[in-house]
Amino acid sequence: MAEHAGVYLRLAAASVRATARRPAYLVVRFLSAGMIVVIEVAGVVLMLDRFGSIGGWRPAEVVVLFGLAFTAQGLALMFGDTLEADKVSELVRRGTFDQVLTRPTSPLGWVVASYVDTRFVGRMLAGAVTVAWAADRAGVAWTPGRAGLAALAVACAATIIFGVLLAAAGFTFVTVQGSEAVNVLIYGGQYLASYPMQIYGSALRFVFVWVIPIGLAIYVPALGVLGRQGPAGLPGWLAWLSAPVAGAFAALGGLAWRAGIRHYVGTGS
Amino acid sequence: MRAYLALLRAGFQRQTSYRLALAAGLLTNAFFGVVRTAVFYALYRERDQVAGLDVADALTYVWVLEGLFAVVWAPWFWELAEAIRSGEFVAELLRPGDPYLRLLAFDLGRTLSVLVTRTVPTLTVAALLLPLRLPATLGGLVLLGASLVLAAVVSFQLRFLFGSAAFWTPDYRSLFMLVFPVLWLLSGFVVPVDFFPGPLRALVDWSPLIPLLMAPVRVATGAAGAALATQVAWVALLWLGGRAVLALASRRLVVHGG
Amino acid sequence: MNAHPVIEVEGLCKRFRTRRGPVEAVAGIDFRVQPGEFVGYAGPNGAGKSTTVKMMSGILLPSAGRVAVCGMVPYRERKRLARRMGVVFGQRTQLWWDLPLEESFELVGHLYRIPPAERAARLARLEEVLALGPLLAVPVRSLSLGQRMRAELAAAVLPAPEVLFLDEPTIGLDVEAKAAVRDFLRELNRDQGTTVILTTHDLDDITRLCSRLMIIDHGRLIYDGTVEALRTAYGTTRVLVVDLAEDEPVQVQGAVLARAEGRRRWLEFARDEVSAAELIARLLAGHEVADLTLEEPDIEDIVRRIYRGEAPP
Repeated sequence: MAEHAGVYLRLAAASVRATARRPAYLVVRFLSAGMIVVIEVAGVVLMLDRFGSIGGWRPAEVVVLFGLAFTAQGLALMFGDTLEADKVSELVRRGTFDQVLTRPTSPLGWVVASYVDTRFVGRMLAGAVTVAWAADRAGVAWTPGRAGLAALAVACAATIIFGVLLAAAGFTFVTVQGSEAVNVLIYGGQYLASYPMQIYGSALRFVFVWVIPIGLAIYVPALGVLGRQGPAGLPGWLAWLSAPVAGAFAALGGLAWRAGIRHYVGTGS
Repeated sequence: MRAYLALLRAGFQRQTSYRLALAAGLLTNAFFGVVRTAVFYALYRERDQVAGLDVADALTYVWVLEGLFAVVWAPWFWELAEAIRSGEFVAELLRPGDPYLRLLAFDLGRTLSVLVTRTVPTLTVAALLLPLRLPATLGGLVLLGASLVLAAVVSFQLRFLFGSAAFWTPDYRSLFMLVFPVLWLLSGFVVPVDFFPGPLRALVDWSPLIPLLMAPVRVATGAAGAALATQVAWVALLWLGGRAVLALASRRLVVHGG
Repeated sequence: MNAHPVIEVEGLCKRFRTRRGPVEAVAGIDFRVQPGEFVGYAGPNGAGKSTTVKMMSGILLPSAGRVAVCGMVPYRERKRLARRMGVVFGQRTQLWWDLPLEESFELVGHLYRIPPAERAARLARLEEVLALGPLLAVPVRSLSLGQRMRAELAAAVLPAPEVLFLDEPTIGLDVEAKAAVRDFLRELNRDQGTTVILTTHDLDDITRLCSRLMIIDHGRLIYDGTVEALRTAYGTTRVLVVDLAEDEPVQVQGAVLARAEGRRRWLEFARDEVSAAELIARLLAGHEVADLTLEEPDIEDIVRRIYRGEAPP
């Protein structure tokens, strides 16, 4: 796969060049994506300031979670948007996926690299700025360790979201229909992970820490960044567990993708 | 008159046929509703009342929001604009009768379908499981129903205004994309408007976005009179505005030929 | 025989499960294609052409049988095979829609790991042959169908594939564009020795380009032989469809009555024996005619005739 890396980068660059042909449109999408993040954060701040705290967390600390979740989502969607069930469903129905399979590349690499949505760069940047601003408000003293944890949170959560997209895409090869349920996981999951996990009931917590571990990926490293103690019984090294967990989850997603392709090749939808 | 009712029915039938989308939509509503409920429960753990709202008010807000989501941010938002750009809409303007009323009738049919298949079930289930603050009397429920319908009407009127930008520019989507985040916030879909700081709140209470969500929430939680009045007033104002826009657009089409 | 065959197909089957029950799209076909052959692959719609091509290019799994292209099993070594084969779909594009054409060629070069100097040389030659020079800076979406098809061909052969699969490449093109495409393919096959499999409905494509023709119908190969033999056997017949002014028997020298319905007569005649003009003149001399049209034989006709058992291939 490494030999192909250059090819995928070029494909991605070509996609960016193609979208750059309408720069005004690009800028609008970028700005609007950034503004949505800003607005959501503003709303949360307005509300939390009135209440003073939630689950023992100060507003600025919660906003750090929001920032991390948005950044991760932006990163994942920047590449994974093409895997959205609706788009894959269209690829299959139109027969365009056949062409993807005639290329000397992995179909996943091709699909991902062939369209990089820069609108999500706006989301990512706004998310990162949010983290910086909120961390400052929360009095976080940045150390390399803490910065590493923040990066870990973003990377792992992004990997998990990407895994969700992969799995959903794999299913779409079989059902050939788009599914909004995926959006619930991607947007709902991000929203849920933006609040401290202890406010949720055990069922929700279990699902989003151990099944679709985006809660784990954001919350636990954030504890480290904010210098907070987790709820009693949460070991300190749990933060680093999020990496293999995220990786395993994405790998499962990859298996679903592969199974989907095998089905496609077998039945020639 | 019969024509408008027919359109109403047609819109209703059209929207109820999207069963898969309905299931997915209910799932989305349920999920976000549950998460928001958890958030408010956590917020109200240490306080009884904030900005005049208690936990029951807040939960009612959450589930009216989820119920009305698909009514306000209708998935068919851009259909009008696309019909305008493609030239199909010209035929609509040439037919006898009132095009605005026709559009309203069809749209209302669709939003009524959403109200019946999504809003009411969502609110009912939430009311059974959670301590919402909903009217206890039949009269109160009727007023709530009226308020939901008025919200649907205002939703159409605002969507019409945004869609009609297509008469003047092909970049209607970009325009909206830039404005949307602010609308999203000011209509109360991020957090209840009640939590806005004083001066901002006073300003926002006068906006046509209030009838979309905050007014029905207020009708549900008790302050029916003022909220309903706001909705009716905005329906009237937006009606006038909508007709003015349509008249301008028709004139433009006649001059420029679509 | 000569060198190892480039394509080997043995007992190839493909069954689909549809709502109406199992369907056998390909029901056991056998053939071998030698390097350098120019094979036409024809058949009515739904006969199994594209299914076969998909199995040969590795994007569809056979239900039974054996297939090998360039010595590889297509669905097992899809990526490796993709490097040595080219595909052109008539309706769909393999190019980058929004970017200038030259960028598509650059990307193809990187995709297939063509050394830059080599790519430039090949491109220069292709540009000349296909008259692509003025089109290089144009975004692909702005090209006309004819221009785009020439560009697709260039992009498909740029990596110098051993095998080229073409799916209806001349469909929708005007006469000039068709000629350009045909000339190019003929040269490619002759000078580079590229094996070409041409799936088409267009009989002219076949007669002008293919040395060999395979006809598939209902998943079975009903003809596999030279184009000449087929032409001699069936391709020379044309049909004059006449609407007579009165319902009367028709007898015209040089033509055979194939069918009669009401006042309409279908007259078959051999292309090399009598010209259409001559036949019409003879007809008009003896009958009053309300209307007439000329029909060219198409694949469906030939298939029908093969089934009727007329003249073995």
